[in-house]
Amino acid sequence: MKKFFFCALAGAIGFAGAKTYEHSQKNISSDLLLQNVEALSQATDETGEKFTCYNSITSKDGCQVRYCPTCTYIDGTDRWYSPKDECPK
Amino acid sequence: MKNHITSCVCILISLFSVAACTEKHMLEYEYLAFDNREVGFAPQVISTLKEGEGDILFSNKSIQDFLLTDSLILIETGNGDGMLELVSRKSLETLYTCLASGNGEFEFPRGINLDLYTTLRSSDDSLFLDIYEGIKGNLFALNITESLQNKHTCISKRFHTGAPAYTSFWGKTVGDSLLIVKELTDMETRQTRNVYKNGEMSDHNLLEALNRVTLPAGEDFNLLSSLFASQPGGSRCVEVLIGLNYINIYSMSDEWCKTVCEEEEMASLSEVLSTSRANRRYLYAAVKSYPFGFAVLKHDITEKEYQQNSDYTVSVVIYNWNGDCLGEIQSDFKFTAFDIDPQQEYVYVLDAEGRLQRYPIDLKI
Repeated sequence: MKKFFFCALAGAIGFAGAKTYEHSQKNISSDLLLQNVEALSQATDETGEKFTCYNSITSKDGCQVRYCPTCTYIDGTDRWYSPKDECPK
Repeated sequence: MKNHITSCVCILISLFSVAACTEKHMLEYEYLAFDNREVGFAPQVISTLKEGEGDILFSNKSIQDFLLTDSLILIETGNGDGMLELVSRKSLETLYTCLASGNGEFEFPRGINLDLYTTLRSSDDSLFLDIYEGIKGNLFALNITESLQNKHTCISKRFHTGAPAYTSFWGKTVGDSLLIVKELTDMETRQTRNVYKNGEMSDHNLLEALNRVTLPAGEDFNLLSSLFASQPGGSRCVEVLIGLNYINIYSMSDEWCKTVCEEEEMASLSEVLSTSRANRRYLYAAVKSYPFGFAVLKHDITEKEYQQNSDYTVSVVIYNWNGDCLGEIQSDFKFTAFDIDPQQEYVYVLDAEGRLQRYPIDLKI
């Protein structure tokens, strides 16, 4: 019984530690790379990069949405039920 | 044995909770707001608009939006040719029509949204309409006074800011020399306010409190969207958050700033992100500015109700430039645009049928 208890405890500590480490790595990655990623993405515009876009949109002042048929941003927002799609630059 | 199992379960639950907590607080900043905040005030109702009791000024005109000046109604027609119509407030006659969509030197590829890309400005005894064109990044000035006098469109380019990396949400001038353009940046996670002074990029420390806020990648970046207006002849500015329940007011000439929230508690970004898209609130739909203050078009509906064109009512809440609430104009019907004539004490509204109406109000300012 004692063996079972300590195994379960070790497993739980290991899981929590792994989740915390994974989360800190995500934060570090996004903090460190954010500025460079934007520059990199612009540099890859001509290589056929795909962008998230929406096919079903509606007007909404102050908002912007990438419209799939043109793959450009226009004034408005996606429909609340509209799934994401992709479009090439 | 029982005690061992119980201890084991308690420890497991605690550790899972710790792991869950690290996932929950992923945002560095929970509020797109300043530290100086005022929350929980109830606007006093100063007027109530009842449908049918106003004067219908136009019922068959193409009107997307409009602006009032002392003697004119500027109408955004939505037409490709003749995007702007200048109408006499006294006679309601069209005095001049100008501006066109297109890719020519003085044309506007995505229209001239009066709320987002234009600012009225007086200079040298003339009335100007500054127009920001967000595709190429140009600021133009339409001399309304000369255009009306000469019946010829008098428009010139003030300066070029460059095309935005992704897209711009609005471009508005403050005073004679400042242009603020709000752009999508950082892989669609941030909305940055870029300030240009006489065409050159300029810093304003105050805006860092708003520019620093980001969302996790892949989230709806329009959660950070806002509408902007500046004080005519002054340096105060207001941003109303479209999907958040507070308003930011700040100065472009000093470090004064304030966030005001009618409700008892300001909504955090995490709270909104955990709400489904359909049920997220759409709070503020327009803002207009005056020398004494500003007014916001408010409706408390969900995104789904808005997109389904449900029946809802709206109100106009009026503030001074210190963020003090001066009162609320309630209505029993829906309108999508408004402007106030503070001298004559009228509110003009564009109703859901596209009719421009005028109602008297009791404006205690």
